[in-house]
Amino acid sequence: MSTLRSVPAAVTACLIALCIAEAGAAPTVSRLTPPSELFASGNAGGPYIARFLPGQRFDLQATVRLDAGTTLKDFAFLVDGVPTRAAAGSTSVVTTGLTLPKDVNAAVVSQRAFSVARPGVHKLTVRATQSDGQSVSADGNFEVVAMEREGRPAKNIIILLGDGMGAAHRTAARIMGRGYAQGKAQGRLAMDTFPVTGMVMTSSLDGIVTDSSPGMSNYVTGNKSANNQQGVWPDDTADAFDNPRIEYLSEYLHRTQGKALGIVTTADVFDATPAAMAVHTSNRGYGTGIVDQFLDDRGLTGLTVLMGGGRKWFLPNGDELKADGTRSGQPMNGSQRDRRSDYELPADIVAGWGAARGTLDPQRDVIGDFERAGFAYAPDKTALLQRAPAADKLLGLFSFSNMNVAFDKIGQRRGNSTIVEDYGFPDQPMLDEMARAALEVLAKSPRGFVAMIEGASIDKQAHAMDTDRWLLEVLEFDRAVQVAKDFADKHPDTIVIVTADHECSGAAIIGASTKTVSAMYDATAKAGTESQRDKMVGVYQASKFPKYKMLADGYPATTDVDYKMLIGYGANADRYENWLSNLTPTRDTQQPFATDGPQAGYPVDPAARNKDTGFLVTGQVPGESAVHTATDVPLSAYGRGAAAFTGLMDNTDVFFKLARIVGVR
Amino acid sequence: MAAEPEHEHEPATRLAFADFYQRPIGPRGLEPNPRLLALAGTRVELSGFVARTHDAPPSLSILAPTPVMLDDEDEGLADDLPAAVAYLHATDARVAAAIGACRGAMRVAGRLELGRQPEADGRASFVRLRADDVQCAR
Repeated sequence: MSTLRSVPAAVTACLIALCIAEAGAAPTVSRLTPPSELFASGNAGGPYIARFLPGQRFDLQATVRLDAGTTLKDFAFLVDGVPTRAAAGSTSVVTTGLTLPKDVNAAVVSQRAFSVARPGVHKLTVRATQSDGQSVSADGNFEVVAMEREGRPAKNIIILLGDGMGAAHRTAARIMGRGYAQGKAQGRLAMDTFPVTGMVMTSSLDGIVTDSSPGMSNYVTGNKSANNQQGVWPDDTADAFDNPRIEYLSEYLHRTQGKALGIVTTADVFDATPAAMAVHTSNRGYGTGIVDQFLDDRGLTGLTVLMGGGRKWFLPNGDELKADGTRSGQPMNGSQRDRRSDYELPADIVAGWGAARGTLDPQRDVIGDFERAGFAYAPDKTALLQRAPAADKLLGLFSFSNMNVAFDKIGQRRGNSTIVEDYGFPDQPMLDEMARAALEVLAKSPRGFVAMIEGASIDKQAHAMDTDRWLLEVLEFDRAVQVAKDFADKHPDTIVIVTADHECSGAAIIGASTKTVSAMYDATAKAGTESQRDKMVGVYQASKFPKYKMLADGYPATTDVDYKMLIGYGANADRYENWLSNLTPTRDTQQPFATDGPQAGYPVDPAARNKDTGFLVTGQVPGESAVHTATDVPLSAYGRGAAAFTGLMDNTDVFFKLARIVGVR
Repeated sequence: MAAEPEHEHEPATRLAFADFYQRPIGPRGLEPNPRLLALAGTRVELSGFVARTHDAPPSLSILAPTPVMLDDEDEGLADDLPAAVAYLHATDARVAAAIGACRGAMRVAGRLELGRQPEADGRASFVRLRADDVQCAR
């Protein structure tokens, strides 16, 4: 009979290993949060992925993969070798609702709302023991950034965010809005007059090309978030509102300095950029929960002003499913609220952060709740101008989803477009009108404020490669920049920055048309590269200096001018290009269904826009929209502390610069 | 002999998007027009444009009064849809194919349904047409 001694050593080792495998290979840590290169790759040096202000709150979390048949016995987080102290109720172990493969036995362990005051690099350790006594330990690190004293602090922060606005978008708006002669700009945009300009790197946690969620969130948390996520890091649970959080600039400054928060956008207010000022979620699409948390957590953020579109999330959805399976039947009010996108926070977040627990309440009347909380409500421009001056808090909801774009709002005000009427909200304010009202209210905050004012549809129209519309979006945005600049001139304890979350579409000013508008229209009858590219696109000196007549309202009389500026797209999808503005709302009685209002003036085939009147420009990306790029974007600064914003910076660096400027220590 | 489609003998009432809700839209939610409510369950005809979507389920179409592109990956439900739209649910494969193939303005006839209903794109519809006939402008 064989014994182990008589079996060859290699076979013995295999037998021993097999025994160990059957007994359990020991737990492992597959995720440690905050993220770090130390955990991911073993590199303990910089740049440090996770950075914080002294005392800025953030969650600690780890995913511990356990051996089959075992459970988690205990866990601990240590910072610099010292066990952390957790507030009562602020820790948790979650073993269900995970997004890991079904055969994986794991526990997600968390400690909420942790903070470190001491500047420097700190080592984070998680230790976990499973029920058979085997344990695991994993290390990461993070940095608490030292805040040096830098002169007299500012009281107010105004962030003007041109969504998707790269250098080309700004330059093109200057060419249109101010004109050039003999090589010199004949005027500057308001954002051009800011004395300090730097460049910003915009990548997200999980890709060189960001989307608007981390695009904004990174600026106001000092940390990278993943695409589609804001104010959180990724985790391994399905719940969209339980991700490990990072304290927002608004939350930090409200908590430590009593500042108020204002959010102004031309988008649906639940959209990524406005939401990433105040709401923590791994799913930017969960409108019901996002909108509810704007109000429910105003005690954390200091929310005082919220304006934009998106009224559909604020209306009660009374179509509840009753116990007998029938529905109560909702009035047809257009509400998009539903349980699926609503929120209920786990107990550890409520305990750790002091956040509202929330409830699944699609029937909630959120406008009513805002009013009961003391917010003046403005459903249109007329009400805004009436109510803002006396308001201490302000809610403005001017459309059901995104607001109409400047091109169409101005057309409506001038009486030569019906598009805004077709949408049913004819009295929408322009962004500068919203900005003025918001700052009027926020200026009443005794300890100052953080305001974010977004020109949202620069990006949306750039995705659509609708040149004329995004150009006017930039001009509208720049008028809001002027409002902010004027405010800072009257309130010198204000820092104003103009920036973008990312560049959109790879826009490029390629030249100008060598033809008159009349000839450009004639060319649509012979659409193709010969007539519309080879014989029309003027490059180099043939581009000359396109001239647009600006009217008293601040916008061009028309964007279709003789020898107009031409824009190309480096991140484009397929499109047909004729260089003329789209959806000209002039009546064409030759079109089918011409008598079926209100679309009597629209082209027959806008879905394949300009297909028979333009030449095909083959895209570099699939689908029908241009995409974001990773190109750095310009940031311009004005006011107190502006000098900090020179050179090349990461979008997360902006957070720390702003904090220094308002006197964080 | 194949049965004639049910709608063959039922004329369609012309309906417009402007008929859907009180205009301008008030300070809160939509308020359906009495004319729209009165037509519920009857056959109507509506002209508009199918909203172009990035990644829509194949059976789902939204008819809007203006040409709209939706669902860019960076947009989601923060969209440019007007408040007055109609979801189209095709009654058969022929109609579904006709809707899918039409790239511009169209006139759609079908039975009008009202009331909130969750749709496959994550939105809730309030006005639907059980589309049985489609005329495409091109």
